[in-house]
Parts: sequence; structure tokens; C-alpha cells
Amino acid sequence: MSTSKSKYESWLHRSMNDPALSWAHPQSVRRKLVIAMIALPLCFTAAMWFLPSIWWFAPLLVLFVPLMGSLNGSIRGLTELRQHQLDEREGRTRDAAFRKAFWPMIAIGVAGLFLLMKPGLSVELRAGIGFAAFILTMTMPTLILAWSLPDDVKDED
Amino acid sequence: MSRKITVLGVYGAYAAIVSFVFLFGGKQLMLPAIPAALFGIVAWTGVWLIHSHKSYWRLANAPARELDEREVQARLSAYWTAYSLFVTIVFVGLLALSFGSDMLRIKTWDVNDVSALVWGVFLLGLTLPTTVMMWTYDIQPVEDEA
Repeated sequence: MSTSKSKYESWLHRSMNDPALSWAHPQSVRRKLVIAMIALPLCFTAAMWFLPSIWWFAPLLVLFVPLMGSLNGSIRGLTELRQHQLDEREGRTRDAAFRKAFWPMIAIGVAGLFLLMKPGLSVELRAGIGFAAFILTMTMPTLILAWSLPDDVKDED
Repeated sequence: MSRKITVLGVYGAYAAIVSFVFLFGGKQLMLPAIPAALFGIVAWTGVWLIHSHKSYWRLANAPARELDEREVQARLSAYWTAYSLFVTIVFVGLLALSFGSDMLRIKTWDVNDVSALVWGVFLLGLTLPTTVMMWTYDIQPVEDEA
């Protein structure tokens, strides 16, 4: 990766390559994180449906922040780092994930929109559907990369 | 330059017709469901106009095997930009709509409201990768190597 420019970019680059996150690098771990990240907004929506309460936002946020951080760390921040911080292959891999995610993102967005505008839904359920669609579409490129990137090849001396 | 005017014209026309219907009293001047049909016609015309720039439409949508290395790279980069733009526009729009409908105490949506959103998402979703390429990428004329 090329050198960072601003302090924030340096910090982001260091954080995403922190050895403390190496536990999340194996593909099997990454895939479990992906499943957890898809399950989280779906459980949130189900909770808002069956037991409507605004307080469900608390566990959502408490779980979302470390989960998203781990997912980002598991792919070494490929979707977060700036283009100039990535080498050519990494940039290409990142952009390909965004292309793969584009049409599913449109589908989820349109489905979410239809459901949000459906008459007769409670405010809590609307919030659940809106946040689930938001989280899934925002994180989809990261989820695709975390699911599909191969394990690192270790040097054998 | 003409392709940038096309991009501005397509999105500008859609924004203008939605603004006219909802903000400037157009809804009261029309029969029910006419605005919904109008949104559909403007959105489809926009897609047709963008599609008529065939070389850019092909760049954004053709299978990768039909493109050279540089075109594939430009296309992937355009999808990254389109993704970021789409998510930002749609969710900032939804947030504004949510606050707006709370403040104006709107309880129900009629077919015209839903149509404005759905046709807008249709137009943006279908054309955004192509329009990003039309805005940022110059197709170089092919030179004979003979």
C-alpha cells in the first residue's frame, strides 16, 4: 500500500492493519462475521415487529459498532481506505465488489421503499425496515469482500 | 460536452417535474394519477436518452470479456462512484422525506407520491453507472495499427 497523506488516513491505515485484528483474517471467521452482520438487522426488524419498542436501537448499535469494525478489519479496510492508499490490485478488487453489490443494493433499496410506504405499518416496524435496508445496502460491498476474499498465502521458508 | 448536457437534462427534467407537481401546485391542476403517468414517461424517456449514448451504455453494462483492460478498470471505478452516490442520494432523500412527513403530519401516501419515489429510484438505479462514465470518461477513437 502506498503512503498515507492526512493524520486521519494514517490512523485509519494503521487501525485497519492492526495485528490485534488478525483473529478476523481467516476466511472462516470472516464468513461468520458476515452471517452475523446480515442476521443483526433482520433480528432488529423482527424485534420491532413482534415487540415494538424504540429501545431495540440500543442493542442494535451496541452490536453493530464492534461487528462493523471487525468486518472492516478482517478485510484490512479495503472499502474504507482511500484509493491512493491501495495498490492497483486492491483498488481493482474493491471496485469489483462495488460492482457486484450494485444491483442487489438497488433491489434491497426498492423493496425497502415499497415496504416503508405500505399503509398500516407501525412507526416501529417502519424504523426496523428502514434501518435494516440501510445497514444491508451500506455494508454490502464489505460483506461481499469478507465472504469472497481467499485466505492469505503464508510464506514457507 | 453534449453528453454532460444529456446527463444534466435527464436528471434535471425529472427533478423539475417532481418539483412542479408537489411544490408548485401542479398536483391540483391535474386529474388524479396523471402525475404518476407523467413521472413514468419522464423516467423512461430519460433511460432512453442515456441508452442512446450506446458506446457509454455498452461500457457500463456489457460483459467484461467484451471490454479491454482500461475499459474494465474505468467501469469498475464508475460503479464505485455510482454506488456511493446512489446510497447517499436515496438515504438522504428518505431521511428528508421522513422528517418532512412528520413535520407536515402526512399520514398516508397516494399513488402519485409512491410513483415519484419509485420512478426516481428506477431512473437513478438504471442509469447512474452509465451517467458516471459519461461524465468522467472519454472514449478514445480507435486507431488503426496498420
